[in-house]
Amino acid sequence: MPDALSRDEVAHLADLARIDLTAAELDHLAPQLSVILESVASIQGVAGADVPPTSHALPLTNVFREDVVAPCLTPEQALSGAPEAEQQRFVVPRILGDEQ
Amino acid sequence: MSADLRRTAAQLSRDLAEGTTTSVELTQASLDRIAQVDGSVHAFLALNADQALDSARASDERRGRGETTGPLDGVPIAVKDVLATEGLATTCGSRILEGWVPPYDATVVTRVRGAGMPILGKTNMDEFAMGSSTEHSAYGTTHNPWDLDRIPGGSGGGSAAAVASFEAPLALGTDTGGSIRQPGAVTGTVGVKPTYGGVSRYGLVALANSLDQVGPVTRTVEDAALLHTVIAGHDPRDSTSLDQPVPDFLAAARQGATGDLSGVRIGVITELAGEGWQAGVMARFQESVDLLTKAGADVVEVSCPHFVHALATYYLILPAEASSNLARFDAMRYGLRVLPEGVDAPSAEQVMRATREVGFGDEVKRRIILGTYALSSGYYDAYYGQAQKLRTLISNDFAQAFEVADVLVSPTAPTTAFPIGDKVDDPLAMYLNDLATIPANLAGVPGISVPSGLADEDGLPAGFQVLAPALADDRCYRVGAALESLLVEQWGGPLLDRAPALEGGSL
Repeated sequence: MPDALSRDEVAHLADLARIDLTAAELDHLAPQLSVILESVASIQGVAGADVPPTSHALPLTNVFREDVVAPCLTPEQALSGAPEAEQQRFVVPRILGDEQ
Repeated sequence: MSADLRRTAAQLSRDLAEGTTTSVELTQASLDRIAQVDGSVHAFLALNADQALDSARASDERRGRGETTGPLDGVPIAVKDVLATEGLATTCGSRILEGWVPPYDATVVTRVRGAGMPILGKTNMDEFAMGSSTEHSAYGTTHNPWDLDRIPGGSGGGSAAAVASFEAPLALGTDTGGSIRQPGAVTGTVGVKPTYGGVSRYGLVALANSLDQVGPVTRTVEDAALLHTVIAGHDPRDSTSLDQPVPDFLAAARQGATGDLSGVRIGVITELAGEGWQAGVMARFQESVDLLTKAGADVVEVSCPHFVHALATYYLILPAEASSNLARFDAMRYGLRVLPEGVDAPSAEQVMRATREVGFGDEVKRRIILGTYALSSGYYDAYYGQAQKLRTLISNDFAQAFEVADVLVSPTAPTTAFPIGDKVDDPLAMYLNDLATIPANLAGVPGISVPSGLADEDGLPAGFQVLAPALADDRCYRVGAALESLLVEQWGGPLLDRAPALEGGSL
């Protein structure tokens, strides 16, 4: 298993994370991430198969409430931070690619 | 009548009750102080002067009618910029949220407003709370009031610096891996991370949901207990909020302040001291332990063998959760929208990529990519899965340690404040600052950092950390207050009075 990330792998991860990175950022990030990864890899093998994972400090349970109408944000409030809005809706760029 | 900003929140509360000052005077004095010194400290990102003064007037009117909402009615507060404040810009220290004004309040903000506390403004922080020095804010770094060339800790450096420089008597912070306690340690202030679930996270812009917790940033343990009482308690809007009775933090702090710790068992964590720790920090820590022994506590050494893996565990879990949380910054519903250059009709995905490239800083990108890697197919079991198992082992270490000790103690941070710029290009060196604070976040237990004195080699503050079992936050207050009272007696006054940059009230 690689504990170092190549420039191409970082570019791929950035792609998955939907972040454009400049060439300079890729040059800078790849070695830094490799060093971090090498450091955190130290935990591999510390816990055996018998150790249950803990995802959260608290035991989580669903929280239900009565389905009653209550005051909430108005459309104007909900849209107040939107980069672009029209007719009480968020305006977004096209979501289908050229292949669609 | 006067408003002495060097007085603690508890003293100001008494001044208000006795009528020797008013909330308007206090709030105006804080705003004047901010105007005077914040150019040097840069603790604040946004001020809320008009609304704060309105709130102060309402508090004074209430008091005039013989009504108050509680002890902190009329005492002003600063709020870390990661908490949503209705009508007041909230940026999380990031360009991607520049100018965003939330249409609602975080529950803790609702509670401090309900307690009658004027909100002075929003404090600077590392972008999305990622960092240990407040150098990763998109709006410039905050400076440590003890030495303006040094970092104030992070990510809540703004809240700690505001309290340390007497710009605000109290502040709210958030602690994901130590972001309240570590800034507290390096600025000579008190910082509390409550039990996970003890304070609502509704309206806190999430960094890592399973670790984040809101808490007080103050100058004394009693003040922290007062503020913690205001913000604690169940919130139906947060599914992780505990529906449990809130301990009496103030009574515990006052009991501790008598200096009697008879029968209290204190465990010194073997793994959180020693090699690599600054000598002056360790010396202050050892002196504090000796004082607690003299106060009647039984001190034992306890080993938490998996704590050596806490840092690595945290730096896998946190980026994994953060990469998922920060996916919401997609340029569609709020925040920045950047159109990619040279594209005629860009798609939503292209806009999202371009926006995140411009809107996020280096540390945020680093962690999103690390988290994406840790969660990706083929590596999940080796990294994220292992980290979740380590979390179990670290929680077990705590459980075993709390069988032999009522509280556990360590230095809060391995070093005092380092010079600005020293570690900004070395993420691993930066991460080491959170070494002693992280285990509590992984296990959800509460912790407090109390000033333990000044390190001999640089004259800068060091912190003493007290950790307690989940829901036993009152133990942190009792032991923290006992140490504080013994140390203040020894120093002959509050530690902050000895900050060189603050002498004479110039800063």
